[in-house]
Amino acid sequence: MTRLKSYLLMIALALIAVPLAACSSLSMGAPPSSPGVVADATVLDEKAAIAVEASWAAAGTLVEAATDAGLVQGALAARLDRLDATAAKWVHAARAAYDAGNADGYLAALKEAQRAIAQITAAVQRVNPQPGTQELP
Amino acid sequence: MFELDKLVHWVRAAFDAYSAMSDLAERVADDLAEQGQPELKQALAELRKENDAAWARRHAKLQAAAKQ
Repeated sequence: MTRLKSYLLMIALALIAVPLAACSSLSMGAPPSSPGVVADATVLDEKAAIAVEASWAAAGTLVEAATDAGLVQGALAARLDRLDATAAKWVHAARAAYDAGNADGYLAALKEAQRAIAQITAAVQRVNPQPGTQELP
Repeated sequence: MFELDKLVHWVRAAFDAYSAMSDLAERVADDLAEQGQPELKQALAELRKENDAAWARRHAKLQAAAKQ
């Protein structure tokens, strides 16, 4: 049964990895020469923004499903709430930088948002369906 | 020992999450296939709005769960 849970989570995380990979490919490109460059002429910034928003949405879906199932309580719930707030902070920072055309701030915020989202999925992955314990050893 | 109902609940939740993410991945793939900036901006605006609503909902649920 634990293998089934792991299998389902692997599928879910694979789905999350797709948009995250899109962000990684953007960050590997040549750095923009000045703030505002990103906002012009291409759709790469929109695609990266969509990817990070979708990654956050996917991680949030996992959190909400586990919470609705009663598998997230107490300290783990508080921790996930904090991680979610961190992800929100960086996603909002990325939005602000995108809206302002601030290329450097945009890429930095995307990177931090990805990191926070990865921490959320890692924490949810450790949820244990057995009663009495909320995280695997 | 497993509690069967708890496990069934988890499997159902995992399938629900998988289904929701499949829909999301499909939508994102469609969005990313679009080359027009106006369409992408529109898709991004919708995602932002949905994410903020979902975050507020999750925050409330997690805060309630944290007190249990």
